[in-house]
This record gives sequence, C-alpha cells and structure tokens, in this order.
Amino acid sequence: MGELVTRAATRLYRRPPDAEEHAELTSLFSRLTTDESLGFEDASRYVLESMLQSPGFLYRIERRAGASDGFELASRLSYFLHGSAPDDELLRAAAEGELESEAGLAAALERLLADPRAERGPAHLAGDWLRLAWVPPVVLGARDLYDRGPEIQESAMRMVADNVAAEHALADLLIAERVWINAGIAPLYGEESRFPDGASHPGGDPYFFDTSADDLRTGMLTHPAFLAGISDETGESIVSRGVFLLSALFCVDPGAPPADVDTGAFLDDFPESATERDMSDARAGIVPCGACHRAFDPLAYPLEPFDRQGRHRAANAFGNPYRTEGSYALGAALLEWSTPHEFAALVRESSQVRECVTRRAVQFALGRRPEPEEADELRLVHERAWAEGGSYVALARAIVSSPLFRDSATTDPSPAEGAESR
Amino acid sequence: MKYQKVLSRRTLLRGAGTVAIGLPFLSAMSSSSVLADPAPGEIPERCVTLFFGLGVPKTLQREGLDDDRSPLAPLRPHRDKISILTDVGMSAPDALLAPHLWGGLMSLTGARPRNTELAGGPSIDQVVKRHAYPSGVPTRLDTLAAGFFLDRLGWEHYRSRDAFGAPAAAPLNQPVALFEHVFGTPPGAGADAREQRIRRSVLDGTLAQYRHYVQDRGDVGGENRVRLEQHLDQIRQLERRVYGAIPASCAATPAPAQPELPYDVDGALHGHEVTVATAQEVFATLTEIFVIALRCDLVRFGSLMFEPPAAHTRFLGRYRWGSYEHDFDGTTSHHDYHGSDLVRMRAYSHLAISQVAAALSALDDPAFPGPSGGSLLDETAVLLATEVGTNHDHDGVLHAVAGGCGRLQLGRVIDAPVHAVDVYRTFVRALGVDAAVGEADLFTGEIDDLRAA
Repeated sequence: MGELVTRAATRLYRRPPDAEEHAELTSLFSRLTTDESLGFEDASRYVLESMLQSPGFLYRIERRAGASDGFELASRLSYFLHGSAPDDELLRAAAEGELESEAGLAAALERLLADPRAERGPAHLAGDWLRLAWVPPVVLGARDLYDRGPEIQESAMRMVADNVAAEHALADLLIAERVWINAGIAPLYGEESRFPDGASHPGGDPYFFDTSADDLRTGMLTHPAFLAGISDETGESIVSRGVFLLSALFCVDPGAPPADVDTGAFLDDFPESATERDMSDARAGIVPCGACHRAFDPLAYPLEPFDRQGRHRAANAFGNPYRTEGSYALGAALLEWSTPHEFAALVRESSQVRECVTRRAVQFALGRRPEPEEADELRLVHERAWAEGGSYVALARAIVSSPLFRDSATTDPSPAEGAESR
Repeated sequence: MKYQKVLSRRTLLRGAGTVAIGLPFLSAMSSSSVLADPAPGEIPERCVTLFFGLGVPKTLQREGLDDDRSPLAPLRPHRDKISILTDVGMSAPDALLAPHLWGGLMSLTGARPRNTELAGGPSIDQVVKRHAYPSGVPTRLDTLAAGFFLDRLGWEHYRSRDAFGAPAAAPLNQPVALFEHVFGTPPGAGADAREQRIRRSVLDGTLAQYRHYVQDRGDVGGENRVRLEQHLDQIRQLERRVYGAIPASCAATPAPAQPELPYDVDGALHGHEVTVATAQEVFATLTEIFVIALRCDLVRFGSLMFEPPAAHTRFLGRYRWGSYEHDFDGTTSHHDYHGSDLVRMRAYSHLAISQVAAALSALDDPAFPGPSGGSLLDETAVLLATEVGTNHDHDGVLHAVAGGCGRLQLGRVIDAPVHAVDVYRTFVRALGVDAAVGEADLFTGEIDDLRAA
C-alpha cells in the first residue's frame, strides 16, 4: 500500500507526500482494512477520499523562504503555462532534480510551450489582466446577445491566441485590431449577414475581421468581452472604467476617494439627462476631486459610447451625444486623441504600458505582486522580453529564466500574529 | 471563564471529520463530551455586538433620550442598563478607503482595514471569545451572526471577524434559515454506525494532515498558515454544531413560518424595496431566534445587525413614533437621504435604534433569569457600534455598551472626545481581556466612565 500511496499522493499533491503524510495515509488504510474489514479496493477509495480533502491537494502551498525545490518549480511552471497541475514528465524532471538547473528548467519551459495545453496560459493571463474571463454566460439587457456570453468570450480568447501565434507584443493585445467574429458577436459588428442562420443560431464560419478601418470600433478596446469586464454593475461608469484602465495600462492604483468627500452632493447638481462625460468634465475642475479624477477619468473617454454589452450608441436616452475625444497628462507629455483608434495608437507607443504588461505577467507567473526590492530583477525581465519583441513567449522565457521565478518565495506578513498586538 | 476545560483532541476530530465529508449524524453521539453543561451557578462568558448601518447624525445624537422626537428615545426604557457614547471618533489620518468601507471595517475592530474585503483585525466579540475560550467555545455554535439586510453577502455584512480580519461567521438574514442553522439537524441521518466509523477514520486522517501543516511544518508561514488554520477552524466549528446537543427545554422551539424576506436576487447599489413593517417583523424574528440561542447556551458570541454599512434598502411605508411619523418613499437609505437630509435620517435613525431597543428588551426578559438572578442582558457583554453618522466623515459615530455582569459602568451618556479604539480597549479590558485591540496610534486612553468602579 505504501507505494500506491506515494504514487497517488505525488499526483494529487504535485509532490511526494512527506513522511508524516505518508504515515497517516497508510495508517488510515490499515485501520480501514483491519478494524472495519474493508477490502483493498474499498479501503483505497477512502484513502483517496482523504487525499482529496487534504491541504496538500486543495492548496498550492509554497514554502516561506529559501530557494524553491523542483516540485515547487514544477507547479509554478505548470500553473503559469498550462493553468493546471504538472504532468508526469514534469514531476519526473522535478524528482530527478532537473528543474533546479537553468538548463533543465529552460528545457521544461520549451516542452510546455510546445504542448497544446500551452494555449491555456495566455488565456488565463489575459483573462486576469484584462478581465476577459468576466463575461457572464447570460448577457443581461441585450436581447440579441442574451445567451451569447460563451461566444463573446471565445471571440476574445481567439484574439489572445492570435496575438500569441503571430508573436506580437503581448502589450499590443489591448489594441489588437483583428477581431474574431462568430455568430455571437456578429450583430455588434454589422456582420450578421455572414451567418446564414442568423445571429440567434450558430451558423457560418467564424473569421477575423480587421477593425482598423472601422469608424466606430477598435479591436480589443471595444470588444464586448473587455467592456463587460470593465463595466461595473451600475453600468458604464467612467470612474470605474478609468480606474481599471489606470491599473491595467499603467499599474497604478489610485486608491479610494477621501473619506470626507460627499459624492452624492456633486451628483445632485446634474440633470438626469447629463452624460457621464458631462459630469467628468465638471469634476475635473473641482478641488479636490479633479486632482485624482484627471488621472483616470480620461482613459475611459474613448469608450463612453459603448455600453457594457458592447453596443455602440451615439447619444444617451435624452439625445445628449457621447464624446470620445480627450487628453491625458502622462509625465511631461500630453496625450491627445479624438477617436478610439487614436487613443489606441497612443497606448501602443507608451513605454509605461509595456512595463506594466511585464509586471502583470510576472505577477501572474508568481501568484503575487513583485516586491519593491525586486525592482532590478523585474527590469531585467522586461528588458530581456522586449529585446525579443515582448511577445507572450518572450515574456515567458524571460520570466522563467529570472531568479524572480526560480527563487520566488511567498511573502510573510504574519497577519494573524500581529492583529491583536499592534 | 468556567468552560476552559480542555476538549480532548480525539473528541474534536471525531466531529470535524463528520462534517467535512458529510458523515451522517448519529443521535447517540449527541450526548458526547464535546459540549460541557454549564455548572450550576456559573455564568458563561458571552459577548454580542449590535450594529446598524449609516449611524446617527451628530446633531441628532445630541438630542438625548428624553426628547420623544430624538432617535435615541427608544433607548429610554433601558437607560439604566446601557451607557451611550456620542460623537465617537472613528477616523484616522490615513483613512484611504471609501467612507463606508472604512467605517464598516473599522467599527467593531478599531483596526485599519487590510483591503476592501478584510478588516485589519478581529471584531470585539471574537477578541473576547478567544480570550475566554482559547481552546474553543464549548457550545454548539462557535459564533452566530444574523441581520436584516437585502443584498447577497459582501464585505459589509460580516460583523464578526476573526484574527485575520476575515469573516468569522456568515450572517443569516432569513428567519427560517437562521432557525435551521441554530436548531436544525445536520443532513445524513440514517447511515449505519459502521459507515460513520469509517468516515470518521477518513477525517481523522485528513485533519491530521491539516495539523501537520499548521503545527509541525515550520516552512509554511504567513498567509498560507492563516488560511490553513481558518480551514481547520471552520471544520471544527461545524463539528461542534453537529455534536452539540440541544437542551430539551429548547428543543421544542417552533420554527418561524414567516416572515421571509421578499427577494431572492442581488439588489446591488440600487437596493431592494421592503416595507418598514416587514423589516421590523423580520428583524424581530431574527432577534428572537438569536436570543433563544443565547438563552439555550447554543452560542455565546456573535453579532446582530440591522442594515449593513452603506445600507441601500429602499424602505416603503409609514413609520410612526410617538406623535411623529414619516413616509418612506422607496428611495435608497444611502444614496437619497444619507448625508444632509435630517428629516429622513431622523426617521431612519429612530427606526434603527428602535430595533436595537427591541433586541435589548428581548435580552432583558425577566422571565428567564440567569444564574445571577439577572437577565440574559445583565449576563452578556453587549457592544453597539455604528458607522459614519454625518455626511460620510468618520467623526461623531454612535456607540453604546450594555450588560457585562457588572464589569461595565452603565446608565451613562458619555459625550467626550474619545476614539472608537478607546471604547473597544476599555470594553475588553473591563471584561478582563488583556489585549491591545485596534490601532495603537489612534488610542488616546481608556474611558474611566465606562468601567465599573
């Protein structure tokens, strides 16, 4: 039984059980077969049940400090690139110490990147970074899109895969112009005629549609999956969208509004017919609101005509037009645009955006934010990745070869101990 | 304090395993030694927090108890059993979270929130619990949380927080659900004894693995360890629920048939509509079940809430108090009249404090004297906290204390420049808890007028 426990636990815990775990599991097997007279098969089933409830299976636990061992690296690598537990070959490499050498880790990386399961890694990364995984299965408030959530998400994920396959910079995903049109989102792009059974029934062959010449839409920025993720439950708030874009594009968290600000009083001054943009323009000139809102509100201006279902509207219900033009102070530079396309072009050129994408990819790979003292290593990862074009694969290679990845240890704030003794 | 008897490890593990894998409940086990009967004449340590969202504007707090129009007037019958603190500070120089997030997470903890979900430390009921029963509370339920609210569970609903600032108990807002939680029989009755022994063995093994991570492995630290400890603790809490026998005198408590809250979806920021009468009826039923659970010694710690922080309920209908009345028109309590509309805030505050007063009355029922001869209220430490009272600042927050087995000075109205941390530290230290709760830099000193001489 001991060998069976070792094999099963290694698969489930993503590492061999330690001595205590092994002893407990074999002891359980003995109790069940001896005290309860269970046969081998039944007793094994209960031992497996115990493993499936154990912390080793339910949690990815990394040690507090010190260099990562091969099994920790195997899990980190596999969840980063495949979004799943290590396969048998990776566990074997871990057991034989291969992952603890740079060459061994690099070989494992290339093998995982070449595996079909590698499409999950960028999908999960983009799903977290751009909230593409937030599309609800049922799109409320849009009859023609009602049950199109899965197709909307599939469209976005095909765009992610397209970015990876073309080896475009990952940062360009946000401004990608090639939109995957399937029956679910065809009505939003005026392409429903390409699907002979109509948008309410799947039909026709999906295809990529280039929005670069489209007057209204600009790729991922106006994709319904992206808009669903960045719109809060109250609708198309410029503030919520702007705060998210500030974080997604520039890795800046503006924090919450000051405690003594009465937001209600400000809103009361506007008629129901006002657009969010009207309010934002006014807010920008108010002390103290404007100082913070100018840092994120304008980022959402290009998207104001798009509701959270991804539909374009020229004006609100009262006929007041939505406006996309804006300007944004980025360091010493003033970015100015009129259309979403122009805004996307400015994003494409921003070095801050590129650095932020690297930071987000590192955060995703490590499962934690990079610490301030890791800034030098983070910069090296960024430089290495962009020397190779900044693609997803280039980022993956730069991250995995970095000490950030190899020696990453969980941070230890010890909150429980400090909670009552400050 | 009388129940610090150490529970046997074996006894704890037995039930813990039961719950995690759905081991059928065996009635023969319910008289196990998991729970201890209170020794005659001994008063168990109990601590309950009360809370209502939005709070009371400062100007209305100052109207006191004697003016019939005052929102505090409902507390008049309890004035000898309660001390009220008006104008309590709850701000900090670096309060960065949105006002209600800050208030909701700072109140009852006195600690700066970790983020928008986690409080900065334990709530006061949990501080007292850990001090009084370091090995676990010997009652069927570890912590009971209930409240009137109309949204799906979010950060704002968790008034009881563990040492990590995470929810210590999920609050229930449907009376029938609360009743089932307190008195219900765990599922799975009917399995044979052999199957139960097997499943207990399985969970003994599983829990040994949790303990191994939490206690033995020095290389698992920080938040990893805390999460595992929380996981283990939750299983143990469920164990006590499964094996905790309900006293015969309480076992016949009838389940409430009504009222149920008339909604089943998330109301988000726009809130749900409910009549004032329904809200009062629901809260009264929740309170009744909560008090019975305390009286039957099924629980000793918990939190009772009427409206969460940043309350968004759309109240409807006429509310009368004394010769006054107000027609709630279905606008949200937060967006539409929290702030500067003192007419509606007066009515809401009076409504909320009426619910607090009703809870105090239920606790103070003389028909159920405790070991001291006093009421359940007298023998339970009660802390009332609210949140931002005036226009979203954190100053001028209403607090109150009650009960406490003679360790608190009651019958006072204290209008002094104190901070919520002062209130919380004084409260727990009066109860004999030597813990520096809350933020040290916000603590200005203990409040002598709150401690019994």
